[in-house]
Amino acid sequence: MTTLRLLLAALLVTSGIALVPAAPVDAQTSSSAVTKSGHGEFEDLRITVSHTKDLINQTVRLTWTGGRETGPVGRFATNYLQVMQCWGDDPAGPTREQCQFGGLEGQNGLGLGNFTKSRQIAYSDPADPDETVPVPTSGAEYAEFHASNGKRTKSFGTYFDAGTTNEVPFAKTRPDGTGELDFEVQTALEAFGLGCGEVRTSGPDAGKPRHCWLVVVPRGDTEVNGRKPGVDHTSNNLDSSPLSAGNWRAAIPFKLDFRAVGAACPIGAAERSLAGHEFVADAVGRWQPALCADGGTVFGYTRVSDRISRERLAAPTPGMVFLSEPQPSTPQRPVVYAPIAVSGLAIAFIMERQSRGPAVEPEDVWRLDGQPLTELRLTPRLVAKLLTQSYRDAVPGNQPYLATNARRLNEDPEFLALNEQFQTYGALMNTLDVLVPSVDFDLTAALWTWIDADPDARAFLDGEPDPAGMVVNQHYRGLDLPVQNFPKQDLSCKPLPFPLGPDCALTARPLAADLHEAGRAISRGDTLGRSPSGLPDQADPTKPGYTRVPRQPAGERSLLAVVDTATAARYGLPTAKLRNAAGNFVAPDDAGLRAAVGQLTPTDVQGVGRTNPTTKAADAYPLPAVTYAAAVPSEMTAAEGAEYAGFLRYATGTGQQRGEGVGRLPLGYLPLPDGMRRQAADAAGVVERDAGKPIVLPTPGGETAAAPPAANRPRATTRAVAPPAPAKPPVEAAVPSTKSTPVAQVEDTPANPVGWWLRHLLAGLLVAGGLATGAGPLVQRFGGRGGS
Amino acid sequence: MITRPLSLVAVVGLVLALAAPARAAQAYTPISGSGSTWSSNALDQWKTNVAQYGMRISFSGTGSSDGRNQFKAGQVDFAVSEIPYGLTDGGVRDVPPKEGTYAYMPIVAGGTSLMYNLKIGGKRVTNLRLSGEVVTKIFTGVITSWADPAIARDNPGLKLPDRKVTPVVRADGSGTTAQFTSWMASQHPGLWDDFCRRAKRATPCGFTSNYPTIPPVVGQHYSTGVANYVRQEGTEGSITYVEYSYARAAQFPVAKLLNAKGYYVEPKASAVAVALLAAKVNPDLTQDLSQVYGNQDARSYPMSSYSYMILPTVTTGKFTEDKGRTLSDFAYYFLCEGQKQADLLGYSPLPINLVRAGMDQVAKIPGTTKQSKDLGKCNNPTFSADGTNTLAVTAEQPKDCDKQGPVQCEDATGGAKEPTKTTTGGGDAPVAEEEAAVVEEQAPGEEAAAEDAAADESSSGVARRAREEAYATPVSVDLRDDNTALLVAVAAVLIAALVVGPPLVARRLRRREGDR
Repeated sequence: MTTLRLLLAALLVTSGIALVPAAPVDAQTSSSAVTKSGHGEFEDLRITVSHTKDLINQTVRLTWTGGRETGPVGRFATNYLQVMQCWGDDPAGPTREQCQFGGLEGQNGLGLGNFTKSRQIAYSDPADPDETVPVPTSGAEYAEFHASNGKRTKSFGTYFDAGTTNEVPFAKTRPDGTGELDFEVQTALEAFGLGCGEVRTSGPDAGKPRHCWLVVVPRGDTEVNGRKPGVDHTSNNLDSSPLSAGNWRAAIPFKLDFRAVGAACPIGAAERSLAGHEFVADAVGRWQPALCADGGTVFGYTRVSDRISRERLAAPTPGMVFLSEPQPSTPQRPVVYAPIAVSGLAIAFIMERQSRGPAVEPEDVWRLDGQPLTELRLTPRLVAKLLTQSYRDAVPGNQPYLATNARRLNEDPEFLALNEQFQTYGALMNTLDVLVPSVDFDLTAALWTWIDADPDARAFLDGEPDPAGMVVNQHYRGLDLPVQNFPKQDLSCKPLPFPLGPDCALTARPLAADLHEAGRAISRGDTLGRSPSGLPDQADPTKPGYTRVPRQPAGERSLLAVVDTATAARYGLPTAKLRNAAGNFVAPDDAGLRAAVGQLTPTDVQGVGRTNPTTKAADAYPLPAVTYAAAVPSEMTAAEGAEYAGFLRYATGTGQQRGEGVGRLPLGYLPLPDGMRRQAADAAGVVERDAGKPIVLPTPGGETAAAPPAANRPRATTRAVAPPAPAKPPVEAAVPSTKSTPVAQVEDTPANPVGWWLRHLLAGLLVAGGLATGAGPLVQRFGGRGGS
Repeated sequence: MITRPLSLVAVVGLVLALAAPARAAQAYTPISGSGSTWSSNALDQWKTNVAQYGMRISFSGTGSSDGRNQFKAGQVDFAVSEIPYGLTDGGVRDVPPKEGTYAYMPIVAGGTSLMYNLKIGGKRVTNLRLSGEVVTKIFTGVITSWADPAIARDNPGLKLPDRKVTPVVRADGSGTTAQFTSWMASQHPGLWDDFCRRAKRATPCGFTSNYPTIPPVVGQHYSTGVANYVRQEGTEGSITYVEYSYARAAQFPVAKLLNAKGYYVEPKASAVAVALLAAKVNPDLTQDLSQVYGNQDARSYPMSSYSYMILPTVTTGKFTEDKGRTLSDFAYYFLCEGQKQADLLGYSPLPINLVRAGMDQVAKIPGTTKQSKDLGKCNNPTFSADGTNTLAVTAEQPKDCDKQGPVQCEDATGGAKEPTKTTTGGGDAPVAEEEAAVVEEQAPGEEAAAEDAAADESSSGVARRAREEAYATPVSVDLRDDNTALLVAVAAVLIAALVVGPPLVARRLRRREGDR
């Protein structure tokens, strides 16, 4: 169900740009779906837009049939669609001047043609007989941009640029005439010049939000002057702009009705601090504007690692933090915990069918090339192989210690046996490893524990070959687990003469900054890698230059990333089914997460459960991520306590209703189970009750009353805190602790570069050598006898 | 200004009351920018948080050099950079945009830290101290082993292994590199120029955004690239310069750097704040850090600096007053509210003089909302009623064991948590029991307890020293694991030769004798 993502990516083509994310596309086509046909030479083309009403900044899906194959051989030379968003009050559709298009003109390596991604409409070749704008004697002529605020300009950078536009200049039609595309629709907040969703202040529709248009300009195989690329046109591809009069005639407009863009919160208020791990980021981003609306509390959220969250809990004025593993309370400093979100750590993928092609495969097979595969099964050993740079091409330079290994995932018999579709359709895929985040997470340790607990995976890591003879990259042999990060221990380079190299592992296959960057990157076919450009560095000619590894083109992508389930949903990425300890392959969908949440293991803190990656429950996904909010009421004023309690109540109440738009729970999260909601409501009560009150240390008797950590097994339904009882501090949460044993933070791989076995071997050899020295004369004598 | 808060509050209240409804009615125009990775950890957070105010900011951390180029070419609305335009780097002048069309504004302060990967006997070293000269020698290839006597002089409590030093630098054009090389060029010009000469650069070398990558220097792209390189098990012995927040996020230690007062100091928010009190701010708000490097305050971290935003002061085809409105409100946001996040992220909040100066720059943006901000409401944690920098005032004096001399503190730095046992017995942070350092992670609350229960120094110190010396036996470390296999093979062949060789030789000799 994934789509031509590179094209969507084109709208954010500048590296690393992250707009405020569009809400992800809904899996189903809604009742507001609209289908339209093309006209003229495109009359067979039928395009469906999945959502056209009640829109916010979100992604809608375009699917089409009856097109002609983009080509030749998948290149954007002829027969593709160009998609853009426009405004306009004429019921027939917008004018070309009202469209957001041309922002990607300066982007290299995107499609083909001189003017195909430009607003330039007047040129001598191909001359457009329908064009009303004359070709100027000097230079180019561009279509004006008419903004919804009445202004007209040719400096359209004012309204949109490569960093902000949502245009998709090249959308591919597959050999069978079908295609699909996720398109981000933008409100007035994202596209100022279009004003979509802005409440009209005048005219007959005053008080209603402004509607907009999605426009598809289908392109065939003929230029505006009637010539054909590759035949009698000057180049082998189309060159004219979709805004050229001759092309614009074929435009297919879809009316888009928007919800009114809500009034943003006024800036300037002091923010209440929220800090914590990335798993909750998408949800918090939705809750923030709902909470601050109408004079409510403004919360500022800072993404930090679980560990920094724990440190913050012990620091002055911690506010509220989000984490997986708790930081036990002390009697002097009771901490209140509340579950606020359930997601999962996932391995997301984008895998598009790539068979051996028409020369080898039957037509019913190769015709499906380019369509996404939606199921992928992984075992702990396969993930171990992917995370340890063990496929031969994951490390540059054909390293000898990887010589017997499969070159890529899609050649690995273990993988192919589990994923039969890939035997045919993975033929040309080049999956080498998983794009992983640089940030540390408690959940990363859970992932490693899942691997570590699997006998096959552990044996592989310890050097035992898999049945096909594949061995772990020697830099990971004996890897000490679990760890909180994703090590890249093989930093080998392929030595190349200046200015060609070297080509090094970490440069060619780097880590992403965080989970969101990992998900965004693979959805664009981007490995984030850099390879030698073959030229000296422009800024410093004494150094070799590096360029970004080209993105895998749409229809030919085959990448994996470690992400949270919300990130996967946001970028429309399917997630792999992982084999749990019961031997079943389970996806991080609602059922898999719900089952997993029932399998949490107790921690030192009552009411806080820990992900159990080795659970034997049949239908449990091994890596659920329960996010706990934690606060220290004694470090708050009463006013702060009330506001943080309000946050908890909203986040675990209305904020758990799934949906698009402000305040709702994004896709990718499992709505909080009822027991956890009650637990959170109780915690909110305690925060409010105890905020600003001095701590009265419990008497020894009181301390015995505090729950012994291990005795009470906190199930999902266990309440973390007692019902409000004004006089008493929440000793239940105050677990006396002398020992904290979080998941291992420190890995102690022996620094001694001579491994123990080598040392023993060396010692043995030396002894043998000594003996041999002594034995030398004897042998000599012996030899002498033989010789005589 | 700040001394008359009452009247000001009244004025501001009036302004806000008049302005607020109008602002709420109008949407913000999205803006985009690019540049520094040094400060991108902070910028990423700010842009996310202003979404609730209706602002859409896009920012890509592609490096300061790229940011300045993109701004100059009109591809972005703003840039973020550690260094200004107009400087000459490698003989090439970075030509500024037209004068009067742009301004600099400080956005966040921080320490360029020295993140390293070093172990003694399998235990991570977390309390390394380095003098500026040693740092320069490390990054210019003069010091090649961690057992170098010069490093030992900085670290009397550590017996460092004879392991190769791998200096890791930025391979891309970087403001962090510019900061770091400015400091070397200013403080240790001789060593730096020698290195430049070897790299075939013109001397005197001055600062550069593009670090020469002649051996033993290793280049990596972006701040995440150098940090990820250094944190690997296989890169023990490596050290890099990177903003403190990256070391914190990686849970790695950073070196304490020797300051002018003879104390080794970690780049915590307070140490940066103290150091920057000596920053000279030029009229255009660019920084002159020469006094920072030699700041005479014992609490200061020498390699402290701040990052600028480069903003347009005139409208262009791309930058309109509508965008100016967004940019100015975004700027007001991060100069005040956003600074609260600085410490948490591993930065240092801007002091009041820079915030005030920054606000003057914001007022130059076309279409600016010209908020006459009441700095008292600014929520900046450095502000105090008397205009001094709270962080700098409350910053603690360094411990005695951080003073240059025979004793060395044991507490961990940066993102690391475990203290390192020293042979000298560690001054203020002794470790209670041998096991204490083996505990996976100490809860912060427990550290104090551990300190209280300090063990008997004289007895355990000796035992500890004995063991450390045993652990720290230098081994040949230039060879990688895969080469040791080769070693073994060679040894095996040698033994075979030893066993089989003599009889053969003997027989041959005898045969010769027989021939005679």
